Amino acid sequence: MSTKDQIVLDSLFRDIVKFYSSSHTSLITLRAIIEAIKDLDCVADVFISQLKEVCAIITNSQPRMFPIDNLIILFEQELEKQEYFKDKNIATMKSASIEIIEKLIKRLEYDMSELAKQGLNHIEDGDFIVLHAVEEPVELLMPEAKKMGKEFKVLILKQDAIKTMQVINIMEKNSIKYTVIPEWDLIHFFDKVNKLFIGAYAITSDGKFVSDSGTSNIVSECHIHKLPIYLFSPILEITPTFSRHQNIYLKEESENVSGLDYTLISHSSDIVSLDLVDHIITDQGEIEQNKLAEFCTV
Amino acid sequence: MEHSNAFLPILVFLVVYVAITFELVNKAAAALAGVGVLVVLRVTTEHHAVGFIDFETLMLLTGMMILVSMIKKSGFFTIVSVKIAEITKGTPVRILVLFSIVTALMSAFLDNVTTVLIIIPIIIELTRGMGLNPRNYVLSQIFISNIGGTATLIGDPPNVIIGSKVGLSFNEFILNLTPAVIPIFIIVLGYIWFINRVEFKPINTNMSKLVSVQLLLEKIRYEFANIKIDKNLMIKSLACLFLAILLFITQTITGLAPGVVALGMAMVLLIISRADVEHVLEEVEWSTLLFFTGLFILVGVLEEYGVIEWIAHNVFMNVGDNPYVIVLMVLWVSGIASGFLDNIPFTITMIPIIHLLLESNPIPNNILWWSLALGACLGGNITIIGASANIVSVGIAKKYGVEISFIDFMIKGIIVSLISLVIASIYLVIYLRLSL
Repeated sequence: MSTKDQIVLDSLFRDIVKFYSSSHTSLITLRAIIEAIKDLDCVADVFISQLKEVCAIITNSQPRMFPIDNLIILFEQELEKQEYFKDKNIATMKSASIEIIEKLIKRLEYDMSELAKQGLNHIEDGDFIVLHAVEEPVELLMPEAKKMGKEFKVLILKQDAIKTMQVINIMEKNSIKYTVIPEWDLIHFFDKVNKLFIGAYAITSDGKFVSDSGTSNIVSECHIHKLPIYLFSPILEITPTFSRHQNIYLKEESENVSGLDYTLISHSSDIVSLDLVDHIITDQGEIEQNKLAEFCTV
Repeated sequence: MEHSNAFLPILVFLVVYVAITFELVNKAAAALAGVGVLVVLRVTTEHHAVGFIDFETLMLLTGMMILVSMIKKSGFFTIVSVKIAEITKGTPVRILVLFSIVTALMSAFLDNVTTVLIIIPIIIELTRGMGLNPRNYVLSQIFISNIGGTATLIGDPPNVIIGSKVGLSFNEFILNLTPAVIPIFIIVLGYIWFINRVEFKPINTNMSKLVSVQLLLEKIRYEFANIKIDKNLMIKSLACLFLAILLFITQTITGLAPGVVALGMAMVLLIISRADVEHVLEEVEWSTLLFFTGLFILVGVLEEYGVIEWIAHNVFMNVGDNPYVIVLMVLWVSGIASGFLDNIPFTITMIPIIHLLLESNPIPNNILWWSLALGACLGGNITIIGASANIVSVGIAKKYGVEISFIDFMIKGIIVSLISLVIASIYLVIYLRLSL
């Protein structure tokens, strides 16, 4: 595996997940693999090694990204079932691989729409919901609820400029009423808001979830103020791995402000305890924290 | 030349030239301060000085600046850039060739600075995202932008000045310069590919890279296409640009000067688009226009004091009356000088000199003007300070973390300029041979 290819793909994952949810990013990645298979020019033997290499790069990404991580495992399981194609014809191998990926895309699309349906049960008229990043509730649930005619408002917590702009774009596009405040101003709104909606990159087997950086602060603050916290996540985001194995990316960059040089350290994502979450909503309905492992796909 | 009288205008001109070349002060401030000194010292009067300004050039530049700023505001350039990025599919050679074609065309019909402002960020984003080194791609687009701008009357400021002051039409520029620019473009592109051929390896044998390209395109699509697209303004502004180009082409039939056409179409666009005029006027590069104004006056005063005539007689006419030598000398002197000096004041200074040269050596088919245009535009590739687009591009690249030093630029720029000037020389010699 080329380290350079890994670094390039990791960086792209981190960038894309700033403006799309991890589910949407996974869909884009699956479609990207299909296009890459079509464009790839190689012989049959090399094709399998290239396919394996791409799968390894994706499942080793920094940070690990679900549902794509689990979908790639399912893809590899399917390839193994087919003994990595008995017929060593490159055209057949390509079309068979594409067929498997297309099925995975359909499955993910179905799960995402089911998650939106399940989520609708948790939005009521008059709700004032706190959001902070482009996650599944923002992309799937809010537009769907608005279409259904539900009347609710959104409080957007401003953090990363790109993420906040995308949340605002989605609200604007769907004519959803919103107010933007700096994240640190939330304390003044606890008497007005009634729910916090968040998403995740992964739900790990040690009772934690990995999500956008900045989630931990907000969840902790909302938990202290007893604001109901809803985590929306497709079942495909549940992983049998631990939170410490999620390859959280540590970024160190030099900054200069007013002539002062310093090193700024930041992480690609947060690890938050599921104990702080009040409701875990999946495409298969609300699930108790202690029963999550039963739903793990891989 | 009356030496005692001419001393002051020469001194002021040289000080302004040094200040402009080494960017000691703002160009417009330097030129206008020079004019101010000449007026205060009674070398010329303010009323007399105004007579030296070529309003035709200023009208053409102002009109094109307004048209381009409105097209840019409509989001058209963003759409074009993203589409090109999609077509390249991240293949290094395709990135080089397709972006170069677009850059050359844009530079020919818009100004070079606008072209690089649009192209450089997206090419950096695309190549860096692919794990490639953006430096060579940035340099290639700068070189190509200067080459593409050489092809038309509106492509590069030296051409605008020559066209307006000499009265050469848009069609004459295209017909006489494009046959030289096309081979220069192809050979320079081939040279850029050859010296960087290891970097331009195909990626369709590497699936990880192909996946990365797709993700990268998604990212670019989001980042660049998130800019608001105003379809209504896009249609109106493109229609006005198209009409302006059509009127440039039909100048011999309509009798409308390019400056009148450009400013006229810009005014039409401002009215039909109901644009916020104050906001649009903020986009006009007033400092460039004032810079031109100041230079016209400084050179006009030099001309009045006989300095230009003296240079023409003592420098250029000393080479004899062989038309080949004169044409090649104008080309190479313009080329080399434009590499180290700002090509705008250089061109303004050269115009009266060329007029004098033509009086004593009537070279047919305006070949001497084409020689000046080719030299002044192509020589801009020698150093970073050779053209405004170079300075702007290097600045944008630096903002994106791509460092291009003066020496880095010059090492590649000298060879690109040498290739360009050699091809231009061959073209001019053939043209002259056929004309005599």
